[in-house]
Amino acid sequence: MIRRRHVLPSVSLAEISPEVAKLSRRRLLRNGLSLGSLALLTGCDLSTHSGIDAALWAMLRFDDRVQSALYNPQRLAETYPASAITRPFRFNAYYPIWEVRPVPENWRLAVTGLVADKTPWTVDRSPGRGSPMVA
Amino acid sequence: MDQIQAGHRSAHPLPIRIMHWIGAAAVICMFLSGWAIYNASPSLPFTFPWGLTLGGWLAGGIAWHISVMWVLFADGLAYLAYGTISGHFWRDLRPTGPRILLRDLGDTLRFRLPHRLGHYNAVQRLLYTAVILCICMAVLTGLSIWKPVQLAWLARLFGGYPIARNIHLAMMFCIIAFLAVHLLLVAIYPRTLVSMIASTKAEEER
Repeated sequence: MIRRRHVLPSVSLAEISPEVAKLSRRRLLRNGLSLGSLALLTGCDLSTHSGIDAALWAMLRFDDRVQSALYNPQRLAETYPASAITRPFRFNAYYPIWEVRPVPENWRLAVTGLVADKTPWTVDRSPGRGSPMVA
Repeated sequence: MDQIQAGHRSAHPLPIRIMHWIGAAAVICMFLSGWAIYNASPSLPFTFPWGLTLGGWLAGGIAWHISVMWVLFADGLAYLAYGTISGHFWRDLRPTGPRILLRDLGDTLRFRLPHRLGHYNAVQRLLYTAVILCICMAVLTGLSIWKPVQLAWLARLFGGYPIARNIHLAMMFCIIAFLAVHLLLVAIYPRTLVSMIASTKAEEER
């Protein structure tokens, strides 16, 4: 694992390994079921170009307009204490949890644009801004 | 006999029938897509079978949920406005008082309820009022967890995001419980289904 100093929302492989093992066993069953539901409800995954998808996209554009009308940059999100963090944190990326790859030692995030400090980010330089598990 | 027709009042006026079926379809879509969203981050120790969900994966489920949300929102507002202005709420859903409620509840539990089209007994009034309030609560908690920053005042009203989410979930279970009773009674009295589709005259009240 990558050594870090005080990264707050983090997860260790030990924390999630029981969950990964459980999900891996269910993988075949789950994939079978979700394929079945997709076959029943074609056009629901937003990756095809059916009429249902067109209707959904139209509604989502309307939704975007409502969201921008509601948006006020003065309102700030509620903050929570570190003790409120769920450990291991809940996983809901687009890829399954058993495909999570640990961040390599040489991971860099280039920073460009109108920012004062353009030094690339590393895992050690981003305290509290992510986990070493982000692939 | 119950079957004598009373004047020309419709058991369910056309606007009610249209709004009922749009609302029913929207609520079903909200269930199925909501389960897909819940499954991505379950807050209770179970998930819903993926075969019963709508959207295929989290983003697809969210797309369905926040699309159909506007259909339910518009349908619900139209129904609340119509129900208030037309007198439907006052005539059909007004509470009857505990004495009549207990009598009708006793009759219901012994399956002795004559369903007279266009008339609502005390148990029906209570259940329909409850499910309307549950759907309103589901929409409001849903709005608060959809925009917890911009609508922070609404989320705060429900005790914060996590509690609002659990109320949202609880409303879903309440609506499903209503649906089970509702569908059972429709199966027992199929002519109530006909009256919600075709124009049917209200029956005389005994």
